[in-house]
Amino acid sequence: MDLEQGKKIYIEESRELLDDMDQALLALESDPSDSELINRIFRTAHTIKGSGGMFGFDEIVSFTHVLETLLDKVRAGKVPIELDAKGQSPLLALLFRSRDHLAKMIESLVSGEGVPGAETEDLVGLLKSFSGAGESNAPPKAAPAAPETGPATADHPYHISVRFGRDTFRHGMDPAAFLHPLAKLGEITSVICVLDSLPALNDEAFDPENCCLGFEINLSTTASKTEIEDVFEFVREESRIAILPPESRAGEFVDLIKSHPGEDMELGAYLVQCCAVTSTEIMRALEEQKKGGGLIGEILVKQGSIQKEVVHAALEKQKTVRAQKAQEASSIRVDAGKLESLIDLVGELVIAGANVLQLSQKAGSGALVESASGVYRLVEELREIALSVRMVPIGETFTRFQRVVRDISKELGKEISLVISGGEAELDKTVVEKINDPLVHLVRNSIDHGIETPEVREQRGKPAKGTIRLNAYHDAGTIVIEVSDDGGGLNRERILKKAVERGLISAGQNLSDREVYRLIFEAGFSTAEKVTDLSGRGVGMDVVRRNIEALRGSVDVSSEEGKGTKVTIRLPLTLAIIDGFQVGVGGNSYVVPLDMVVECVELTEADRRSSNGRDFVNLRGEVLPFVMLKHLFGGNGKRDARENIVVIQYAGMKAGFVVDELMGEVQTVIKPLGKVFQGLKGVSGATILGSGEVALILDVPALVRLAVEREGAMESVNR
Amino acid sequence: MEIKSTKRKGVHRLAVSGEATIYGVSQAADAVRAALAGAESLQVDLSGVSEIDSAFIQLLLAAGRQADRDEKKMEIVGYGGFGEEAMLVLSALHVEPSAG
Repeated sequence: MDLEQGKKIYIEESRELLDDMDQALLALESDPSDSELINRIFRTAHTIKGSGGMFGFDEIVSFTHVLETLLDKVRAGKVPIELDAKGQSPLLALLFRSRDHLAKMIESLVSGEGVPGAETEDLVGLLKSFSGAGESNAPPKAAPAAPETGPATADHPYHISVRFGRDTFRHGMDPAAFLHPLAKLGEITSVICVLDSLPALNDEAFDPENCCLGFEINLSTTASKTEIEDVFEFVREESRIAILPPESRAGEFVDLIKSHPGEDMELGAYLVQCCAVTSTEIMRALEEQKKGGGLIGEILVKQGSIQKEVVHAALEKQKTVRAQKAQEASSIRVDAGKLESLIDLVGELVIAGANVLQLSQKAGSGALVESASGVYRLVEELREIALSVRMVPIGETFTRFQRVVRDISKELGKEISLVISGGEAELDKTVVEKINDPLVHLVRNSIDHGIETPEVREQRGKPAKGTIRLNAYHDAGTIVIEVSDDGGGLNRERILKKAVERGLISAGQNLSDREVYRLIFEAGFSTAEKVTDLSGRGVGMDVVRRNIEALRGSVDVSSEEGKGTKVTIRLPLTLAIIDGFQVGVGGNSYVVPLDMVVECVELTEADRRSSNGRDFVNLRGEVLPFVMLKHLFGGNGKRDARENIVVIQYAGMKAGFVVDELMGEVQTVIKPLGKVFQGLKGVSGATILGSGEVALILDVPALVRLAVEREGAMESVNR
Repeated sequence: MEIKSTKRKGVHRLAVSGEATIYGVSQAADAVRAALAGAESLQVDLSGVSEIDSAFIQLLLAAGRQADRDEKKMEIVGYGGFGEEAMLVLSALHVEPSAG
């Protein structure tokens, strides 16, 4: 393997592992007794150390080694996780710090900058002191563990339950004869003969040659379940035999199952591999299942083959293994660059395909059109798939905020919980990456300015613990991300005052709430009463807005004083290829994202007259503001007798675009505009049509806002 | 297997000797049935038994159940030299070995 390549993978993997460690630490904080979490943390540290050694990252290896040593002791229970009076654990705090330090070390591999050695030494010292404490204080715990793995004692015998088949005697078998070989395996501590089904001598049902016997036997033995079962080999076909391992063994089985190398198997296979049940028992249970249905685990417990907790452990194991497998199966690491060029190529293919289709239509050969359409359809599918490859759920980004919220709220002495929903909503990977910073800003803002201190909250009659919500959902070709808090909300008066101070608006200007709140996105605006480390320096919200608009998205804020604030971000799902709707205006072509098109209606002469030169029409009793694209973009071409309105919906607002011609659906490969054109209003990109012509992609958010604002202005004039 | 049947003062005594196994169990069942029918009390003497199996023990048990139902008395009055396992089963039957 190319070393550079390997290093890259190592860094990538370590990042993921560190994320996982972070999650596990957070979970451990809320449930310090969960040993599986400690295991998980240990494993991540172990993997980072192990792979780090392969590349000779000695600093990382030696640091992780110390961390691993401590984790191992925590795992063994030698160093307990103790919570102090405030529910804080110095040990967990140290583990958090160590994780962060490790993250720094990994990142330093990328940046090439070293990590301050003093900090490493400091942490190593602390880690060692924790490990050392475990060495001296903890009682020797290894010793009492031994007997557990030893032979089953008399207190914990096997329980064997046999019901012999009717024909046992006729087959020349003597139930009593089985006691002898059993006694050879160990000590029979008790035998009870079960005669529940034995009729009395004179009963019709009594046949002296029918066997109606059964035994309940307690056997103390070190033998395995299979060995015991073998004793009954010759009668097992016709009899019902249940061998319940000793309680002490149940724990052993649970351990065995837990340590089983992760392979996806049927539940039964697990139990057999760990010798908890024999294959005969499984076969019988399966037969039972075929007959009566039910769950195999439950049947086994009912048969008396195994304890419930063992089945439970096996099920858990199966679940985690499957989850792991699913994760493995669903991810292949692909170089982002390769993906990028794939998407680019698919984009070109889409354009070329459209061209072929158009030419074939011109050529007028039916067969050619047919095959060209076939190809085009396939290209369309290919496009769908290629784009979906880059789609990732936003959940991963969201969960990272758990740590951000935890750390900052601790720092500020606030109690805040983060509620995440809609994490499964997918969007383009590049969009996900770019949205992270704005989200961090918004979440920090919520923590810093939004959520009040517990005391203030209680005064206001709210629960002391504040809540920040991250939510995402798809809506008309866009993804909506909401960051909301139940904090103090925005103060309209204060925003107005500040805006006047900064000269953003003139005093006495009449603004709607929405407009006032939007002011916080203006450059150099901050309403925080005091500047803290985190935010309040007046940079931020305007940067957030710029970043989001650069992604062809929009951001909005709503708030209720005293109740909370909600910031809503809307982003296009992808930055690469979209389904577009092509329209013609003044001899030029324009494209509107198809998802946002609601309908097309004719702009009649009557409408035009009744609108009185104001740009809105009556659409089935609804006021629909519209934009004459020709006025906006110019172009030659006379006004046609007929014009059409393309009705667009965006972020809950409706507006119409008046166009000359409706040209229909088109696959649109978005080409960003050059730097020179970036100041253009109303256009967000360009695309090449099948004919080779260039069409501009309309910036729907900006245009809709323009139309709606104009209508609003008109209304306030009328008022 | 041989079964000798004697009757004295309303007490029916069955002396079993030889191999008390599945092969004789039907014959024994008939003998026990007949003995129980004609007496208030039944004694089964197993001291002459050289070998006993579960089928025979089961028969004795079924007979015991019948005696209980008819409110008659039935007891085992002697054990032969049969094996340990059979004793184990017999002890499991909760039939108190009253005589040895």
